[in-house]
Amino acid sequence: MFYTVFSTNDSPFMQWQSDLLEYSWKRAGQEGALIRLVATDDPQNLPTQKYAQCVATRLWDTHPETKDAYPVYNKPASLLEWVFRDRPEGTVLLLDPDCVFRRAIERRVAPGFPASQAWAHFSTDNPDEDNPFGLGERFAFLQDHCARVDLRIDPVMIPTLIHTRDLRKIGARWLELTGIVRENYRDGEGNRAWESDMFAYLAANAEYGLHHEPISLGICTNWEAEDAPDAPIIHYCNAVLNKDGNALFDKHRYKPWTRVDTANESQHASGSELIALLNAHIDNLLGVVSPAALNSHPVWRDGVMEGRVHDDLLLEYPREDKSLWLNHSGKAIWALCDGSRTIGQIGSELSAQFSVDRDSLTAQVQTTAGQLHATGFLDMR
Amino acid sequence: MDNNNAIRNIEVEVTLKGGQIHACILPSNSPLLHELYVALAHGDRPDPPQPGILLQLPLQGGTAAVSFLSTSLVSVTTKPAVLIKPQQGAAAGQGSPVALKSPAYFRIDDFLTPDENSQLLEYALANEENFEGSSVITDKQRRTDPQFRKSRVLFSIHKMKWRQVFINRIKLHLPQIASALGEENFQFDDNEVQLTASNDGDFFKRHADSDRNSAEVSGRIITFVYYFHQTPKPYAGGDLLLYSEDASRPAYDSGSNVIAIAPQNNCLVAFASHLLHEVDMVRCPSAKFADSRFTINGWLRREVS
Repeated sequence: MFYTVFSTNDSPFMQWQSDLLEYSWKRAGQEGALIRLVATDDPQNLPTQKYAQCVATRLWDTHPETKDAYPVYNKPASLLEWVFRDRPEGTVLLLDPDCVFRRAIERRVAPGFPASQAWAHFSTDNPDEDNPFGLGERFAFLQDHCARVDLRIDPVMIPTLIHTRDLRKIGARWLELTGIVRENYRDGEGNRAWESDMFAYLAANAEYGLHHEPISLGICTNWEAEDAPDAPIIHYCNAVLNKDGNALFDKHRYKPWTRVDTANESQHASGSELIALLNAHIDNLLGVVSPAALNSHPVWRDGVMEGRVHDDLLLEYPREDKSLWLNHSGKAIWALCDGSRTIGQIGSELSAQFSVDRDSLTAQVQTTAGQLHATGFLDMR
Repeated sequence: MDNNNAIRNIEVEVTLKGGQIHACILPSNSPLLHELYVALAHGDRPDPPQPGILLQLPLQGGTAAVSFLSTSLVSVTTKPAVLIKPQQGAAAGQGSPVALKSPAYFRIDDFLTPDENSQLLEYALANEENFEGSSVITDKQRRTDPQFRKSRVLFSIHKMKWRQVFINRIKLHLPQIASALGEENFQFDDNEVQLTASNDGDFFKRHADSDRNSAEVSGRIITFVYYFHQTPKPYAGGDLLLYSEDASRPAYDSGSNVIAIAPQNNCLVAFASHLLHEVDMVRCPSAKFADSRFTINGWLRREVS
């Protein structure tokens, strides 16, 4: 079994992120179950999702011993409860709620062989007694809490592919170490680390001898494309910036479901894709199909099958049991959507080919490509 | 306890790939019954290939057994019907459906990290001379009774870091343990942890860890046993025999209302303290202390505010 799992609470902030993740999961045709863990003290009134299974877990916003308020405790705590209570068996794709799918993930992992996104721009030294897990002297406190600290950690992060048996193995230690890191680590400005759960995750895995294969799995919206080439997940933990450095989209300021302006180009392609996905979800919710942007590159979606009947073209997407007939003009537009041309270029090429006014034909290309994107037959780059 | 919740014997018939059929009787709270349904639910997982779990079904009143991989299970037929989710309004009676009950114990493999596990063993070996003969509490008195319990205990773990390691770790598991054992989650008083070494000929006869008539043990809610030893395991026996809640039934008649849990290194087993249990005799050919069956055993008491 393949589980896509993410941990949330029952706040509105988590709800819209869950909805967007769910939309992208369905659109990508991801196999398996989508599990939304909901840390709550009101399990009788769980939020609802169209496709995701909402699983109530105990609220762990605050550490019961230290009283440290850190909602991220919910992640290891909810996972620990889920893997022991529901006894799932198989591969878990562990995501944060602020992740979306670009495409489905085929890879599965066996027990003892997790794989994760490499943590770009994060490195560790050789570990020894004074440099626990190679994390630096600020982590010297771990000597008092770990049987061994001269262990190598893998500089990886969410998303992660890990087997449920490995999650059962490390779960409690991950949660325990998260509390220890929160209590003892301070950065140069005296602050606790927001990423405490990640440091704890890496240390717990090292203690259990679990090493993650670093793979290209999820790209953060402030990364260069080469940091995670062709990653199937986009992680919008940071704001999406335009070329001038101004925020086009910031999850902390976003009001669902307002469309995000696409007039300004994002610094990174992943940011543009995220915004296109968000807008497509809004259009889907509202029943509106928005025209494709002139500078976007439409490309046939993997898995779409073509069938020709007389002069018409039948598109089929078996994973989602979808099909669509294209007429003569739709077929001509579809033929040029190989990812090498922008919408504007397709309009120009077809207007020359058919001797039709460029502007009106380009508008038709925008509409048709927008519909094909909204219905999931085209991807936009 | 109403009839729907009572533990009942279930006639179980399993069909394996190839058409082999085996039948036995299991109590409705049998972990094996639970595992059969888990195996059915997971089915074949060819991607990636899963090795399956070894399951053993007692046959002929426990005098024989059939072993098979969970992946070769095709179906499970029961009489009366075993329902994964109980049906509202189902009439209770001999032929009425039975809800699948939680297993009588909770097991956590890899409880400590591998280095903690090996350091704990080193600690036990380094403290051999501090181990004392074990005792039992009868008539409100703690006394040695080699006819009832034979092993050696290190009580000084109370002062050591290992006590805190166990308390911290088990606190994180407590909600899952309590829920699985049908107990409400509770805050616990953490002062009862001890390290036991059992060697050749050692045992602990059938008993319960809580007794409402004894102030010293009446508050115990959950018993936990953590196993550690040299690998490969240098001893045999020492199984934890856990009896069904219905203590009036004969113990060994069919093997159906006693669960045997073999010690496995770095594994923790928890169960309700009121359940009758015993430790089967240990056979350790070398008789060396280092080859003992070691356990950290403790009791979680409800904290009195």
